[in-house]
Amino acid sequence: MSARSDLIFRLQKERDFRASYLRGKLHVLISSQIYALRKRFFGKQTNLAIASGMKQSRISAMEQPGATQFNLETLIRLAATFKVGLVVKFVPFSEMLRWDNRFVQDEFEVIQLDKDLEFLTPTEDLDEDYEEGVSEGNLVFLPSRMASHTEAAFEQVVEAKGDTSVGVAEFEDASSLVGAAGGDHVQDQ
Amino acid sequence: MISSIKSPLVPWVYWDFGYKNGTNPIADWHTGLSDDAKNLLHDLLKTNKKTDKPTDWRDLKFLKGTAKEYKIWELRFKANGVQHRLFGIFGPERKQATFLVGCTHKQKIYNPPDCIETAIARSKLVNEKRWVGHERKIRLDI
Repeated sequence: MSARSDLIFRLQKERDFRASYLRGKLHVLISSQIYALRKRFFGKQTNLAIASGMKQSRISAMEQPGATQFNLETLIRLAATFKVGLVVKFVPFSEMLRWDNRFVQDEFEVIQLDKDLEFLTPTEDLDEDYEEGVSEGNLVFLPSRMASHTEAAFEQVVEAKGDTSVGVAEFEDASSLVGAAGGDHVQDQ
Repeated sequence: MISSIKSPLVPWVYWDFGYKNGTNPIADWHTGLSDDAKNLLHDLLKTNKKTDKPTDWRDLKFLKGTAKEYKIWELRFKANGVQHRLFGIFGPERKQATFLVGCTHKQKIYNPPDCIETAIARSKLVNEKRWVGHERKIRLDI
């Protein structure tokens, strides 16, 4: 049996080995991303420590693979400090491996909120997302800035599907949705 | 207009230090690691392989004291609550790294306790070309 076949066999049979496999990848990829974003946006660890309200020693530990047991709240706090989003989703092993293989720390960069024009000024791409929402039969809530051109797309979809069970609710702007959700605010440093 | 052209990434090549009698102490050390440590080390080496400057490697620190003279560094990683250290040097060629000895570290004490001396002795053998390199290949399909 080849070394790869042996690993695949263990991944298929042993839950603990699957956990170990996932742990190895996540510990390295998370610490590597934190290191890259810290260098790009804050320079020294002490600067990130001040901005995030964490100790410098904790930042140092988070950049050492395996030295920190990350919890979701820590990652959210870091993402908020970096002014970037955070995606946590369950995926096939193949997708995770593809991400791992394509990840290059030197080239890793994320657009910060202030420069994220796609988010700040929604484009046609968001219509596509919207159409997906409609096709799944969801009620889609839209900020008024998006409504003018997405309403037309909505009508087209409804017309094509002959489905009137979906609807659009209009809000003043995206922040009203955030406010309604009652989320915590993260103070910018 | 001047445009910047990025040179293509040249991945690092890793070598395990081996004695001329064919033994590979790095492979022996690796065999004894836990699954967590093996998986984490694999991914650590995989990411570092694609990281151009060693100063950006996760998580590399140059040793002080006598070992500093030989430019020996340690890669630090933690698995199952155990701090592991893999000592190495850069070379023998450009964009290559040679692993000399692996050990654990707890409260400033290495185990085995003579691992720094061993690393120094092996780095001397590398410089004198009295060693055998075993390439440590990093799989991309797992």
